Amino acid sequence: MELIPQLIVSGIAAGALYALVAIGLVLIYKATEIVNFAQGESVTVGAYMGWLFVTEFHMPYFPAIAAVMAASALVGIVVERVAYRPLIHSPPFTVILATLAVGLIIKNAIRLVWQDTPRTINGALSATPLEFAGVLITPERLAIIVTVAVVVTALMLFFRFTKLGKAMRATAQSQEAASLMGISVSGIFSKTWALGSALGGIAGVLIAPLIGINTELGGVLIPGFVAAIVGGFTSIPGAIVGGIMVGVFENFAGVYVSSSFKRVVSFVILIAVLMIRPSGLFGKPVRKQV
Amino acid sequence: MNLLSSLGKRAGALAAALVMTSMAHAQQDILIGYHGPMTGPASWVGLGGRDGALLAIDEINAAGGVNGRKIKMISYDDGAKPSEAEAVSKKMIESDKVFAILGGGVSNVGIVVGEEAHRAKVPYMNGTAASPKIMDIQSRWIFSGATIDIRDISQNEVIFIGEYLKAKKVAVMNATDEFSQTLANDVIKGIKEKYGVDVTTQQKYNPGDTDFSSQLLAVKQTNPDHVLLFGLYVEAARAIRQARELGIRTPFMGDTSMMNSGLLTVAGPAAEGLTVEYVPLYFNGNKAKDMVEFEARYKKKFPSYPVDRPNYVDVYNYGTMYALAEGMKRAGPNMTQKGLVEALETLKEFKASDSWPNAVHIIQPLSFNEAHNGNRRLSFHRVANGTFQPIADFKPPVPTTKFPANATLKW
Repeated sequence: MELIPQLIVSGIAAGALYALVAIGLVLIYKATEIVNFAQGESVTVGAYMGWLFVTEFHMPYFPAIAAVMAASALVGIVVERVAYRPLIHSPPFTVILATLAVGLIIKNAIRLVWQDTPRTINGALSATPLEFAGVLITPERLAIIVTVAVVVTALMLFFRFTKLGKAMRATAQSQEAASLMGISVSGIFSKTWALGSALGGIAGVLIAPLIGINTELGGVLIPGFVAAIVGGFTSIPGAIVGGIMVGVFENFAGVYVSSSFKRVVSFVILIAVLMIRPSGLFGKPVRKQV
Repeated sequence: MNLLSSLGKRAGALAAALVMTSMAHAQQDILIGYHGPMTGPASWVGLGGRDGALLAIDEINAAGGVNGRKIKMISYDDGAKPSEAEAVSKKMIESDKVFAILGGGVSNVGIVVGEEAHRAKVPYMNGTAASPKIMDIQSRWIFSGATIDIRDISQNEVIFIGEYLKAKKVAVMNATDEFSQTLANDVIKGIKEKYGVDVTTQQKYNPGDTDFSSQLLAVKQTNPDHVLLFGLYVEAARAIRQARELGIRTPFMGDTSMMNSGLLTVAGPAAEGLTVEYVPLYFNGNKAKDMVEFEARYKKKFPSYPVDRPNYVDVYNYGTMYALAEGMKRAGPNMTQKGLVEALETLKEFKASDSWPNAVHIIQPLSFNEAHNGNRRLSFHRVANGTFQPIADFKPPVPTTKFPANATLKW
């Protein structure tokens, strides 16, 4: 096994998960200007829903993924209507606190029902590694990378060619102008939250067979958040690049610096990128007229 | 005469009031404080410790309580954080005025609570934490129940690695919490000194981590014949599974916290061949009469709990609570906190079933030696065909080392 290529491939596999979380963060922020600190819990919700559909309702794995997406989207809509819509004119800090509170409520509600006992899903793909030129990767982890690629492509096509996608882009650029053009801004908000939550749900159901399911899965928010900032908090391609950078750099730091340093490295990347390019790698500088 | 009669009546009333107060006091519940992490990655420790103790308390109270008094337990979440542990200790001691504290926390929290209990002169029975720093406070107020000191775990592990596994080159992966770090360092020192084992690398990870590829790849590079894993079972399961994904076929050896069916759930077939230690007498599903009875009672009290409960922490604090109650019983009806300590020190090879009619015996017998460590025994197991099987051909000796060598416990 070649170490450096393996570190890169394993890093990309880990970073793909961070990228999925980051894309959800970016989507919601672009349309609503809200940083969703509950995005990590949408991964947890997706994982538990996957467990319910596969293990309790005996659904095959791939249809369960579609079911999780739909269910997660519904959860996103409900949360937006109940927790965030009433705060639409509130100061940003209030809304941030609301997202933190929602995250805590979701986590503890799950804990109340299912305790903290780890669960798992039997995925449909093999855990036996495949070898490509001395580099090992399992079909399960390859699926996460492929999923990110498919999601990004689908989102690009969605925003470019569909009416709803264009409406979302218009709302992200200017809520006032979009409203004047007849776009229901509140309706767009709901659909954006649905999409962001669905992405978190996909991440949860994909990662569940690999690492098990417990109420602490939301911790993936931190590297996802770093990935979103590194990429520029308004860029979906940036979120992917940011996620992969975090995953790969963590791996290299863990081997060549110290395993204790691994978790710290994502923040080192963050500071380094922001010092050189404050708007992130792909973000556009924001100018305010005073 | 009238004056004498009046004084006599008043003295009688006063005496009656004193007797009534004494009886009321004697009939008051005995309030125990409990702490453990009930949220966060280590919540299975705190919740298990609490629920095992609650079951024991139900049984003790149903049998008439302790010298006619019922036990009542008030529980607090310490979040596995020393900062919260300090606040929780002060609340229990100063505000709730608990008579004694039962610990269900992790090691770094046990140290804080132990220090507070010593300062306040409140008996502290640690049921779950294993750090030697708790007992090194050298306080007569502090006891360690069904759990086992890291020094005893490491002594047994060193012998197992050197004489049973016959390992020559090992890699170590340990979590950064107090228990895992201390145990890993002790074992590394022991295997190097006693058996000349080569430790090829020591990799660290954090509780809650989900990706271990860099640590595992660093381990793979050194080509060890065994990997020693120290940490909590969820992360261990993930690491073992990911090791197989990266083509690592090396056998793993885990520590006492990993003999948990949750590990088998998450790791799946990747766990085959894992060796671990276990401290209580029986693992979940064992057909021994006492374990069958315990699990039945547990499921009756907690019907909605998942299949891997009770876990070993439930078992620890079920047995430890009985030991605490036994100390209270021996301290007598006019029990004081100091009296409880002196009574606990008389427990030798204590089995709950010997003196409590409802109790089942599922932990190692407890003897509170000079250092107040109740249990020094454990056993070894291997994962085979998806379950933990005892390793019958290896019986570790019971450690006799005193630690510290010249321990002098202080009031």
